[in-house]
Amino acid sequence: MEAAVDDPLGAFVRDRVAGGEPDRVAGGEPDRVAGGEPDRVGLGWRGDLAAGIFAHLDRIDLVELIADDYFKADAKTLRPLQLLSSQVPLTLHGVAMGLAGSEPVDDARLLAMGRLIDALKPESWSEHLAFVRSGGFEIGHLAAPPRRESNVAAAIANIERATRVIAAAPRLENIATLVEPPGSPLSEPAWTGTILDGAGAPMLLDLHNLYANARNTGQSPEALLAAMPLARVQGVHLSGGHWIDEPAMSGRTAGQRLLDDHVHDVPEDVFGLLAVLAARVPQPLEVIIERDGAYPDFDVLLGQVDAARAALARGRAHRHPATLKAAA
Amino acid sequence: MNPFALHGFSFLFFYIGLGVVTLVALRYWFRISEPAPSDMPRFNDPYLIAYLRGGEEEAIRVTTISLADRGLLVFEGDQLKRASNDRDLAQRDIERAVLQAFAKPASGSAALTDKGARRACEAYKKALIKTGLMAGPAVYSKRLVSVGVAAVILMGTAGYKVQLALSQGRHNVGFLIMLALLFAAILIGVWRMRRTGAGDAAVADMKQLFKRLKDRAKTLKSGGQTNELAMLLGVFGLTALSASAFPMIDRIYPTPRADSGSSCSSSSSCSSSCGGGCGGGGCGG
Repeated sequence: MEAAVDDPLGAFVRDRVAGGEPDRVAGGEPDRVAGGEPDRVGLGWRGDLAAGIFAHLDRIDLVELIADDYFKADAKTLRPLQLLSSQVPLTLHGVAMGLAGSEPVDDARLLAMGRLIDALKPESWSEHLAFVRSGGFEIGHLAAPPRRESNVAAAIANIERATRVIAAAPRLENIATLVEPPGSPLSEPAWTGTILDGAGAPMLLDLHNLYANARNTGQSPEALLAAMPLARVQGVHLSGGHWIDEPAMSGRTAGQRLLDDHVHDVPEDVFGLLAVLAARVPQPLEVIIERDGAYPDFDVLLGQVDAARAALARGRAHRHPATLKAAA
Repeated sequence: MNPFALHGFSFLFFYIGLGVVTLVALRYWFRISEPAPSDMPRFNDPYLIAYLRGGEEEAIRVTTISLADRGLLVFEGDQLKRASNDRDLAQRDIERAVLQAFAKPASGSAALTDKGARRACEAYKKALIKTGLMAGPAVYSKRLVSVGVAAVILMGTAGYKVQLALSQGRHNVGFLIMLALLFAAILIGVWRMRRTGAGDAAVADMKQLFKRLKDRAKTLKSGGQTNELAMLLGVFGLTALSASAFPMIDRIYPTPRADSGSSCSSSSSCSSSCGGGCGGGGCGG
C-alpha cells in the first residue's frame, strides 16, 4: 500500500501527483497538432560531443540524455546538467527499466527517474519496449519479448505504474532484434499498438531499429512503418548499424543480419523512412540522432542533422491528404 | 580563553586562523548570496566562455588561436598577419577586431593590448554582468558590506591587540601589523573578484561537461570547421591542448602545457544509450 509511512515510492508519488491525476503526454491527438509546433532535430548528449553541441546550439533543437547514467548522481554531479538544460531543451532516455518484461518494474528505477526529472525538468522521457531481467537475473541487453497477448497486460501495467510515479507517460521505443522472438503470434506493429493503446502512451519510433527488423525478417521497411501506430509517434530515433554474418544453422543457409550499433552513419534508407513518416503523420516530430562511438568530425553529425531536417521537410511537403485533413 | 591574553607566536597563530576562517566564510557568503541567474547566457560563443573564465586577455588569446587554426591568421616569420582582407570571414566582433590588430605583422601577444580587441570584449562584460555571472556595480556595492564586516573583525582585532601590547610596554607587533596588511590586501582582492558565485559555478559546470572532450583532445584536428577547438580552449584555456598536436599554439604563445591523455573514467559519459544493454540484437535502442 503506497500510503505506508516507510514506503518511499508511495511518498514520492503522493508528492508528485498531489491534488490530481498524473499528467499524461498526449499520444498525437489533433489538439497537439493544432498548436502548430515545428518538427525538431537534435542529438544524443555524449561528453565527447560537448564542444560541437555547445558551438552549434543554433542548429540543434534538443538534446537527449541517457537517464540511467545519472540515477545515482548527487546534486553536485547534476548541476552541470542543469546548466546544459538552460542551454537547450532536454529529453531523458531510459534504457534498463524493462517495461515490457512480465515482472513489475523496479521501484528504485522509477524513483531515480522521477528524481532526475525533478532535477533536470526535461520536456519528455522515454524507455524501451524491452525486457532486460527476469527472476532477478539481468540478461545484459535490450531483448525483444515474445509478442503475445499474455505479456501485453504486464507491459501495460508497468507503463501505467511508471506513468503514475513519474507523472508523465513515457515515450515507448521499439527495439531492434536480429531474430523474430520465438513464440510470437502477434506481429511487432500489432503488439506495439496494443500496448500503446492500452497504456495511452506515446511512441518513440526508432527508424533504424524498424529498418533493421524489416531487413532481418524479410519485410518491406515501408510496409512495416505503415503498420506501426503512427498516430502515437512523438519522438524518432535515427542511428546506423552494420551487416554481420549469420552462420548456417539447422535448416537455414548462411546469410547476413543488420545489427543496430549506433557507431555508423544513418543510412539514406532511414532518412527516406523519416520522410515517409513525416508525410503520413500530422503531429510534430522530435528527431534524435544517436551516436555512441567511432565519432566522426562534428560537421558529419551536423550533416546528418541537416539531412533529417531535409527529410522532414520533404515529407511535410508531400503530406498525405488524410493527414492534411486531420491537421485541419 | 581570552585570545588577547596570548602573546607572541601564540597570538599570531590565533590571528592567522581567524583570518582564514573569516575569508572562507566571506567566500561562502558570496556564493550563497549571489544566486544563479534566472536567464543564463547562451554558451555557444567560445570567447564569451573564455572571457568569463579568464577575462579580456584570455578571450583575445582564444580568438587569436581560433583564427589561426581556421587560416584567417597566418605566420609571417615568427609574427602573425591577417590572411585576407575580407573581414566578413570572421563571425564575431572580437574576431574582426583581432584580425584588424594583425593588419600588419605583429607578435601573437600584440592583440592582447590592442584597444579594438579589448573594446570588443566590452559586449561580453556587459552580457555577463547583466546575467549575474560577473560582478557589476550592484554586486560590488553589496559585497562591500560583508567585506567591511570582515575588515572590522580582522583589522579591529589586530588594532586592539597592537594597542594592548603597546600599553603593556611590548613592541614586538611588526609581524601582526604585516599580517593585518596582508589580510587587508586579500580582502580587497576578494571584494574585487570578477566572477560571482554563480559565475564560478558556471565555469566549473562547463569544465565538467567538457571533461570527456578534454580527455580526447589529442584527437582534435587542426583546421576544424566546427569550433570544437575554440570551445575547448574557451572552457579550459591553452593548457587543454597538447603541444605536439598543436605546435601552432606554441609559436603564438610560448607557454608550458601538459599533454593530455585519453581515458574513459567518467562513468556519466562513457555509457551509451545501449546502457549495459548491447547484446545479440545490437544496441536495439
